[in-house]
Amino acid sequence: MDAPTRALYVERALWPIGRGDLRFWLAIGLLSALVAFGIYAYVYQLQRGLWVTGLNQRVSWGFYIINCVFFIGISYGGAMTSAILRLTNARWRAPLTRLAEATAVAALLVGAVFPIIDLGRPDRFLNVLLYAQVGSPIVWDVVAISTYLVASLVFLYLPMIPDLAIARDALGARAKLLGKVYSALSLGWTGTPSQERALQRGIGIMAILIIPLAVSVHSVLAWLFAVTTRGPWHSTIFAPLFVLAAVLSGVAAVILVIAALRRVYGLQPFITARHFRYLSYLLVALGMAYLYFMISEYLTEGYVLEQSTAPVLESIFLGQYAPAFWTFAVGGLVLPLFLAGLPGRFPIARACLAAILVIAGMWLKRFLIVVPGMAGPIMPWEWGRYSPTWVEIAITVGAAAAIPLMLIVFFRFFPVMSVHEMDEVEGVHAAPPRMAPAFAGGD
Amino acid sequence: MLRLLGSALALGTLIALTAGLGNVALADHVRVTANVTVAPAEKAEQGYTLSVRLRTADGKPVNETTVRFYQVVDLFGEREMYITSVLTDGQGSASTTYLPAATGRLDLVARSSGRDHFLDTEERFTFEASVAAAPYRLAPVPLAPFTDRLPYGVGAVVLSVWALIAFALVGTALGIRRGRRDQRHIA
Repeated sequence: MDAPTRALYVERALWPIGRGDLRFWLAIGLLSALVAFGIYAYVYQLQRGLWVTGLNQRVSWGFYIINCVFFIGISYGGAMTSAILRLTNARWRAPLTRLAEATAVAALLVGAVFPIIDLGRPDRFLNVLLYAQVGSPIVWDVVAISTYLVASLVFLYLPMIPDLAIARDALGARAKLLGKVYSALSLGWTGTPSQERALQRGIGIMAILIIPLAVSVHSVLAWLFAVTTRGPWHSTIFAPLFVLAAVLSGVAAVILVIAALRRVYGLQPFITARHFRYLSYLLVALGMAYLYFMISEYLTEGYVLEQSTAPVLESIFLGQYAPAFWTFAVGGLVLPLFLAGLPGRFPIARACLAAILVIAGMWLKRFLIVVPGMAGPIMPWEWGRYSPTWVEIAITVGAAAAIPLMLIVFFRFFPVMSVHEMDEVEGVHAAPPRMAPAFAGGD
Repeated sequence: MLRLLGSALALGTLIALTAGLGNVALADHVRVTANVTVAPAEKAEQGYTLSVRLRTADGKPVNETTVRFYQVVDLFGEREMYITSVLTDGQGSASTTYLPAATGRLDLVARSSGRDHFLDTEERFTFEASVAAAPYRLAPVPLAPFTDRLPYGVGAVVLSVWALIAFALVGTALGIRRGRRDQRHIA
């Protein structure tokens, strides 16, 4: 990268900080309104109780648990994308990692709130801590999510230290208070070889740690279903299926986030069609793996047809949930594979369309896991019923809006792209990174 | 007028006849008394033998009659817990063994339902039980030696992960601080 290009890169990475044009405030206003409506719906639920939702005695898990699994899945995909690209030393990763890591944290913060919303009485969450039983999957979940949240925050922060120093030097005079914050957070970074070594060691540990952590979080979420008394969830393949679904939806979310922010922050010179093509390939590979796992699961369950599973499978393939299932299977899984995988024109538009379809499809798939599994008959004659109310829909929309809102606010204060990482892949640093493995693939 | 008088007389006769028949039926019902005794069973593990003898007031045995035994228990209020039922023989006697769940004072009820012209009867009795069933023990959980230790293993892994996160964060911060200090020294 030549000097003018690097200067432009630094300028673009720091551009959103402290700036707010009309589009910015419009976006903030719209997203805040949606989040505020979601908060209003939650307060309404808090005052009146869970009866204002569609949840009932038979179907006690609905939109809230679907959203919990869905948003934590997106977070997982963001963290995995960044960690894998770092560990494989993919040279094209530099402009993407910050966006992926920030998406991971924002989605996790949103997803982790949903079990508390689902409780109806949020104060009872304390009982999980006060009367914790190690045999309870709920306790496993709390431990896994809180550990993963801390790890994600550290994984977001460490690579940002050199960029905070750049922001400190570049913006210190312009924004005094922010300058002090950058100065404190950058820990006196000057880019010496010993500092570089310490940083690379920390990032390396976190990049390796975040993958099994994210896998464990989503596995625990899957076991939360698989170890209950509901027959349709008794699947040994649930944990890997959840993990794959999480990475798939997470990569799709990363595609959408970078497409949106690239346009808003003028990052087109650095986030190019090539990035979308690579992410599309990743999406296709994950989509095909997910398709294989799903077929394997349904084939086994459909062939054995245990008494508790048979009516649920029938409702999914041919009954009341069939429209949702076939919409997911065709529109949310197979079609995106063709859209993202086939060569041709408009790779960015096709990647974005495929990502939207995958995200919608994966939400539907979570619905198909949670609701029919709950509503399916325990006794042969009694099907449960579930229709979400405006409260659940409003909270869901508010939560979905909270992620871009958090990202916009975050990038108003912190560099949107990693300058240090770009320098690293371009070989600008004095000390070579120690974490790059032997199998580093470059482009 | 005559027709009305005739109808009234007929109705009166019908009522009188019905009442008379009723009196005849009640007069035919026979009171039954139940005599219950409790004795230790032949085998200690069987607990106690509950014996009942049904007799009419004039001492005749009441055979082929079912007697149900209950224990009065306190379970969300006082209620009767069914023990068993027995059928009286030609001597009006029946017996069963009962092993109480706990020692101490037991309140039992023996109740026979009426048969033919014999009336229902009920006898309440109390005794001090010194023999009881062994306390219920849970069957050992499969894999227990493994699952008992598993939480400690998982706990150790979780703590190691937290330690690694802390090491990555604090180690990096200290390394960067040290690098800055070294640079100042060189300068």
